[in-house]
Amino acid sequence: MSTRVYSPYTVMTIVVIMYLVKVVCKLSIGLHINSPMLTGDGFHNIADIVQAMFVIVAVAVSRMPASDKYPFGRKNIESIFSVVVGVSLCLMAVKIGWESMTTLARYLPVWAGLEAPFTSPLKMGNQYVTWVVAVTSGSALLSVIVGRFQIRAGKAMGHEALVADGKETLSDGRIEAATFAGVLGEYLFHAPWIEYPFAILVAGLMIRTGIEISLYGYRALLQRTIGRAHDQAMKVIITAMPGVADVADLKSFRVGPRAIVIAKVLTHADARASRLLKHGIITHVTAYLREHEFDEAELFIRFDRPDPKRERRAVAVRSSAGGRCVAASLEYPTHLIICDMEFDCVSRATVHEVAALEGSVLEFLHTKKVTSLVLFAPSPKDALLLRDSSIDLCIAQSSQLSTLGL
Amino acid sequence: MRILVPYQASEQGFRHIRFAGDVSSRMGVSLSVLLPSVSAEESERIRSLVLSFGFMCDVIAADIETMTNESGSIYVLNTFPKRMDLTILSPFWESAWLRSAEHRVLIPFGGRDAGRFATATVMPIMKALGFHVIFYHTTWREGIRSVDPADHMAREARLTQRIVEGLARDAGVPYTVLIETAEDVTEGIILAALNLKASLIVTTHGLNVIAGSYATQLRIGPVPLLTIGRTEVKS
Repeated sequence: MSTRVYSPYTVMTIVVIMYLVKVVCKLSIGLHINSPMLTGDGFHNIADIVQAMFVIVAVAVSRMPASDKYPFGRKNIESIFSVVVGVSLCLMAVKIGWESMTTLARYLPVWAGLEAPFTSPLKMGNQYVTWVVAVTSGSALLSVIVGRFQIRAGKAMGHEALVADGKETLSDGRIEAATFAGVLGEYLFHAPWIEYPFAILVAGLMIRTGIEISLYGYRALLQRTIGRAHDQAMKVIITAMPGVADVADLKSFRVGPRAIVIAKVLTHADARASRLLKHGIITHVTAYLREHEFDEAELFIRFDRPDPKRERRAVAVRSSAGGRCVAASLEYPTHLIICDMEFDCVSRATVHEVAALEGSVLEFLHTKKVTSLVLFAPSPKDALLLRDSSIDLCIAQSSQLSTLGL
Repeated sequence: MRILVPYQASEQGFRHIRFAGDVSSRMGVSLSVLLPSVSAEESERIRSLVLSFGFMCDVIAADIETMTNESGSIYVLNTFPKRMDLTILSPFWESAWLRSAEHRVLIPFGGRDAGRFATATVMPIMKALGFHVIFYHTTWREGIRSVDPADHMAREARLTQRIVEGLARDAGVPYTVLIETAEDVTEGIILAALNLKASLIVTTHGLNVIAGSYATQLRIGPVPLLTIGRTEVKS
């Protein structure tokens, strides 16, 4: 099913219109029947209109393109907005929960016959019930429809502020549903108190939603990883790419709804192949992120060579009329080849005649900072000699110098 | 038919032997390690070493530049001899074939005979190994408005496409065709292989190419490359 993508401003205009209708209906009915719940809700909807204006501003700012001063863009303004909405939702939930509990307490037997201590009781009459039922149920229904629309549109367009505001609208719908339950309770069972347990439950849900929204924004603002499991999965994807030796480092965080991934990839590929590899990595990691609800992603990949494992290796060589080969043991070498090794390959080699050495072979190898010596068939004496030095003994499988890259 | 790999006593050389061993065991053919000359002791030592990698092999005295080409055999190398008659499998830095689980192979084709020749040669191997083949073609944009790259294909390339598809069908090898309008042919091929998780690119030398063969350009990696040798191409 294809989702039509609306402009965020169109979505927010619909939201503002909805709130305007709600304010007019709730305040006129609420004030007329002297219902503090409806009136309070009407005033709350005025605050919602102001909040919707902030969403429009936040969306406008977040859509500004990235610049030299803001290389990741300004998407995080929506995360700030999420924190604000989340915290205000929690505060509102505490207020509603407290008022509902205290009002509910009034219905307990211990308060029977006393004056209402905290709030005015809900005043209802049969002559108003149709209007009140229409306003509360219609309002709840509108909130659910518009809230879901906002969330879906926000996710499709990548606007966190829209999603947060949509969740807040859905919470409004739950409160309105609780009010509606109270109205029905009064009308059907003469039990207006039914509204308050519902309201307490809704307050709990609001706190949960508020914490969820603010944590989402808070984590983005503090550049928390998008998830260790995601980081690990992305490392596996990158390491499986041809030409990748390892992933030395990978960090991820969010800027608004956009996932940012910074990776250092080790490869032996040259610049041209690395550029192609980068495209391949971006394709696969972006596809992975999209599968995990990160519709927007930006990857910063830099390449480096793996550790070249530099060392200096000596090859004992026996030179004869038939040519040169790896000497069997330290008793026979005519020459020593000193090799500078990188990635276990010879990057530079110099040849030295053993007869021309001033000291012993071992002293020469120490002077040259050699860490390993290659022989073809070392004698026990060679092994003993090298064991006492810091030089490792390597046994060549072939005596042909070409097999050692020489 | 066998897999041949020159012996080099280095990390990369051992990686090539492992790669060659992996290919030989998957294809169910023998593995031979090449040395310029071989003594009995060297042969024994190298066989033991290769066995420690998990593969059986024989050791033969041969020089890549001068040895007689064995028809159907594959040489595992990533240093390239001047000879065009050898079929060379070039790992990039892998020690095992088929890093990706998808077992896909990308075979580029154009309007000439190279794609047809490569396809006809490797189809039995693709069938035996259960590979999925992706036939890839990239074309220049012609003076038409269509956004479908297939509409920009030359007549010869369309003909080649029909032939290679027929070869795959006849061999019972599953395949898909990808047509693109990449800005650069070599980069388009490598990018397609990376994006589609192909484990191998199969190519060959064009008969009429005297410089800048794609088979040579594709050696930059990082996807392993199988270059089918052609005796009729002069080096």
